[in-house]
Amino acid sequence: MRDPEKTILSPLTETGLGYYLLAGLLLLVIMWGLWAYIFQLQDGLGVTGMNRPVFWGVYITNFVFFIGISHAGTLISAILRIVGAEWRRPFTRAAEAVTVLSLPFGAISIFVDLGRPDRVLNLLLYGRFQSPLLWDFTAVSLYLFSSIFFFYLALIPDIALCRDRLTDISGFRKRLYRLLALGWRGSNEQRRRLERVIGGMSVFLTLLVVTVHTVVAWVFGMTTQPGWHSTIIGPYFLGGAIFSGVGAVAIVTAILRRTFRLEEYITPKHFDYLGKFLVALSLAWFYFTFAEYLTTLYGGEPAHMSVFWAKFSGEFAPLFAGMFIFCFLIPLPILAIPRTRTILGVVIASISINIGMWLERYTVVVPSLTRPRLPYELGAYSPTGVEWSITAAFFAGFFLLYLIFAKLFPVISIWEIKEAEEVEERPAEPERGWDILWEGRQEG
Amino acid sequence: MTRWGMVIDLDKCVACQACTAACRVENNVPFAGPEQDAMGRSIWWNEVFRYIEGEYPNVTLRFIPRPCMHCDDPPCVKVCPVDATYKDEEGIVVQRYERCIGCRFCTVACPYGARYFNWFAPRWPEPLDQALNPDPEVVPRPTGVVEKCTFCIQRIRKAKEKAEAEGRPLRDGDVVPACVQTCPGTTRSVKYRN
Amino acid sequence: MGEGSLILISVIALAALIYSGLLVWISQASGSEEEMLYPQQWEFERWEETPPSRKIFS
Repeated sequence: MRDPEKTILSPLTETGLGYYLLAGLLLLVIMWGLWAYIFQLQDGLGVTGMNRPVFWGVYITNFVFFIGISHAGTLISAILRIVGAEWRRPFTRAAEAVTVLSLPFGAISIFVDLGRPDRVLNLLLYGRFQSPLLWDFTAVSLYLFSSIFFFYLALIPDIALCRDRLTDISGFRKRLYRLLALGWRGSNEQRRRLERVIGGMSVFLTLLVVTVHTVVAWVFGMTTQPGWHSTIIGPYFLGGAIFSGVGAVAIVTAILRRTFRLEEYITPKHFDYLGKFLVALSLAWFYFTFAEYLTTLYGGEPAHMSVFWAKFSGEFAPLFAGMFIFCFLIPLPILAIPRTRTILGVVIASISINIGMWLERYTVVVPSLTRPRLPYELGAYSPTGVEWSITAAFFAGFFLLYLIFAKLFPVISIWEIKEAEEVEERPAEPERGWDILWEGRQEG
Repeated sequence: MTRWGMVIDLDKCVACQACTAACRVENNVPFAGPEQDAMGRSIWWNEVFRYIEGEYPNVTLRFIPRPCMHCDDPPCVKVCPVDATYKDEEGIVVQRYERCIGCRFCTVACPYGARYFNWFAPRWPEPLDQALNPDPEVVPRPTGVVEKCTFCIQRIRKAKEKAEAEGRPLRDGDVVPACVQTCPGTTRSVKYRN
Repeated sequence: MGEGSLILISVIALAALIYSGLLVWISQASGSEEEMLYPQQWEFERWEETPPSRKIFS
């Protein structure tokens, strides 16, 4: 019974050189991005490649991308929990961490894009309900707040474990664990209440996931720009978000498995399930993309066709083709063929998917802006070093925060694994209170 | 209730661009310079588009002067998150420079491309910086805010003040935006409706 | 204050209220050792052996 604790908890007390080196490198990238942003603050947004008519570019792409990745955590943790998919247990925490840590970078992306970040409080003073940006702000704030709460809830029993088991750590950390553990003793009543709240939050977060990315899509969908003003854009963005997010979770989980020697808990079978899930998502993404462009082509409206050809044969064709290759042509065979659906295969496919999805966001935002209805001239956009530096800093920031998370808390939810084991070991008994939410669970 | 309107006779327009230039001078529109202009950073509250139709020898040249259209149902007003742009009771779509957070949602929502953004702090080359319009309503906008044609709202205000001082209501011909005043071919005129 | 701002602030404030309430509710749950169903799980023994070390990457 104590072995999972030893394996999973040991990273919290032992730190190798590699950790510090990686953290140092990431910090350097973040500092570089920060310097780029200060440069932008001093000189103005003119240091980017944005212009008229391409008023939005890489920053808004990052915004949609990071909020997109965050959806997988909720999916794996909340939705799979609701449907009783036991195979989720070893990586719910890693997935929730992806959610909690990627969302802030989505929000910061918009902040970096503002012409007057010093006036951001105007959103709180003069906010207009009719604006999709305000729906965005509200939904994303609520989602971030709720995800942090959900993440914390599922952490409480493990924090109590750290509080009690870890003796070889600093006084500050001991106090931190004691504070955050909320006096957890593992009693029946506490567990019952915790499970109920987690169950309720799972449902609420699932609803939020649908709302958040639909609302993000509607920032584009509610304008009349050709290529943006599409009824399918809400579901399209939502499907794409879950798609890229599950891929991100697969990558992160594979890295954690290798570096923390978690092979016993995260098995090839889990990646098999993730891989099959990604196949379904890839097909769904393809369906939405196909439906969108076929209807555009068939309708033949001049303004829409201008954007269409920009993506299919114009200057955006390489990026658009790249999107299709990375999102569909590369991952689908790897994931659909059982022999290639190994851990390495799933990771390669997931990396490909995330590259493709970033390209997808870019080719949604930029081409429509380069073909405005008026004026009739073509727009152009090439992102500058400032934009790339800040983008790199966001990715580095995400990984650095993840490193810190992995140092403070167990990356696998120990109590949920133990819960599954005790269910297997338990003789047949009438169902307890906290099992009611788990009717019809499969074998883990 | 007063509602302002502008009539532009497309048949008479010869694309002399006098309106474009006058508007820039009247409203202290900042200077971009050739490099920034090539990047698409110039601000033109009023623009005159030329559009060539047909193939030689059956060619037509169309001119479309495009100030802000002050739409009845402005898509830009709908999307502004902080109410920095709004349609006032007289029908002008007004911009509040001091409240704008520079998110550029309005610029992206405008179907006419009539909105512009200050990518840098405003500047003018040597002799031009002495020729700025001192009217407080057209103080040069700071970096990071959106601006656009305001129907020369400062001239509307001045005309109203003058009429009030003279103890009479506003008449036709009192309000003359810079573009209307400068247009040589009587292409533009402002109507005052009640 | 803009109506959008009011909605935003109310939503977050309501969430904060509900979430803190739930946390209090969970932490206030009574728990005596006799009630625990699987007592062997929550033995608070001190960890005697040193944990296996992870050299390069932890």
